[in-house]
Amino acid sequence: MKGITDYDTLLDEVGTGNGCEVCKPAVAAIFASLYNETANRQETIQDTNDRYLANIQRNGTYSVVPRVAGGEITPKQLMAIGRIAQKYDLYTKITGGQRIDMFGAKLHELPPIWEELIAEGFETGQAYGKSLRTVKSCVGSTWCRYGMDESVSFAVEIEHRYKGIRSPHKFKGGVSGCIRECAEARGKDFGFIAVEGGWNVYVGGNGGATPKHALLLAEKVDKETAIKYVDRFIMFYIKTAQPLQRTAPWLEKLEGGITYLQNVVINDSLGIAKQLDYEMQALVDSYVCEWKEAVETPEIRERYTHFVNSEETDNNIEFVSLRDQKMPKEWA
Amino acid sequence: MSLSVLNTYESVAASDVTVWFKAAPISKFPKNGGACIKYKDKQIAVFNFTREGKWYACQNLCPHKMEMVLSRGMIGEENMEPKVACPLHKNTFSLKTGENLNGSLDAIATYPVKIESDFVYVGFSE
Repeated sequence: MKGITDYDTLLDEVGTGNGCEVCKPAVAAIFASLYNETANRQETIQDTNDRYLANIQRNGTYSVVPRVAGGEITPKQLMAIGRIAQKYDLYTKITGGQRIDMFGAKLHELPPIWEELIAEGFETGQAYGKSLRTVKSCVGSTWCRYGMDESVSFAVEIEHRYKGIRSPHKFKGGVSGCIRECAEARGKDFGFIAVEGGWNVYVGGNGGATPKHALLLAEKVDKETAIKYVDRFIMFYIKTAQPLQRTAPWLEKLEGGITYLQNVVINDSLGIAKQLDYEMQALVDSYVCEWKEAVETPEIRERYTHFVNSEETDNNIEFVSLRDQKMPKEWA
Repeated sequence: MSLSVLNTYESVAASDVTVWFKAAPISKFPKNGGACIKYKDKQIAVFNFTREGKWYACQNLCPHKMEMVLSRGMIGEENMEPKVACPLHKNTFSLKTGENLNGSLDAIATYPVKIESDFVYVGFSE
């Protein structure tokens, strides 16, 4: 990127015109993967959801998802989410990634909601980003009579390791404590499954429109080795994938496929392993919660207003009731 | 939200402006992005094309699903035409003619903008 760090300079030096809704988020993702800057710095080149650090829903309101690493949550945290959701009259639903989504927040409500969540010890879940979503886990050997290893501990550790890292597309992980695979780790971009003698490491799976089981990258390795391989896999993916290409189609298009990938991340066939390790560690070490940054920075907080010339809010938004909660009124 | 609201938005040509509404200081609008202003019962999206030093305004209502969201869309250009992409489904509209550039939705209403003493004014005919 020739050391360029902002979109305008990039357009001036190597582009033409004024950009568009396709190239802006693609460039924003590359900046983020290179420098780990949050979406707050160049907010108008971010895709819709990144600009306001929330998921826009069909009536123009947003949903809020705090990180619940590994799906592990204390009763006190559950009560805090319940209290905050009730206070702001939000619809709540458990997501497929083992966390809680709160829907129906108006733009101006996002900073106060996050201020309260952060005060309760939560941080952003990046549900809006092309970045790590969740690392799903089963209860593992901590509780399960079949568990071979501590899948929850591993999932919590790895989710905190990769949180906030922005990538060509969203990516998800899973950790299962045995081959019964309750965490569906092989349906994720990366997965670890505990077996006799260590962890099996899988990469390149996803659910979604084109379901794909992840492929075996390494067998019976210890946790540190498993993390190292996945570090390199993710970094290599970030550096070589097309914008909005998930790991499964990336791996399918990779010449030599899984064998080639094994050579790169395990045998260091390209001589880049050290660099990939270094770059991943730099991303891990530079994590900040961008919602904390937003609520604590007056200029960023000011963006969360429906009108710039009035304190009023959008009177166009209407809800109807649904099973003791609410939902957006049907489209006209 | 009914069609009646949509029908309250009609393009205003610069020559037809009877009211220059003093909306907000330019510092309230993000660089190379948009923000929404209220004028009477109308919601108007105002866009700051900082790179070119140009400003555009249009209805905030996307005619696709009738939501007040266009001001939050990404802006850019297509064949020299300034445009906004709706944040909900990426329908794009010309900010000059209001025309839907990537589909057959109704055109959106556009409004003239002028800048005086670091304030943004939007032109209306009523």
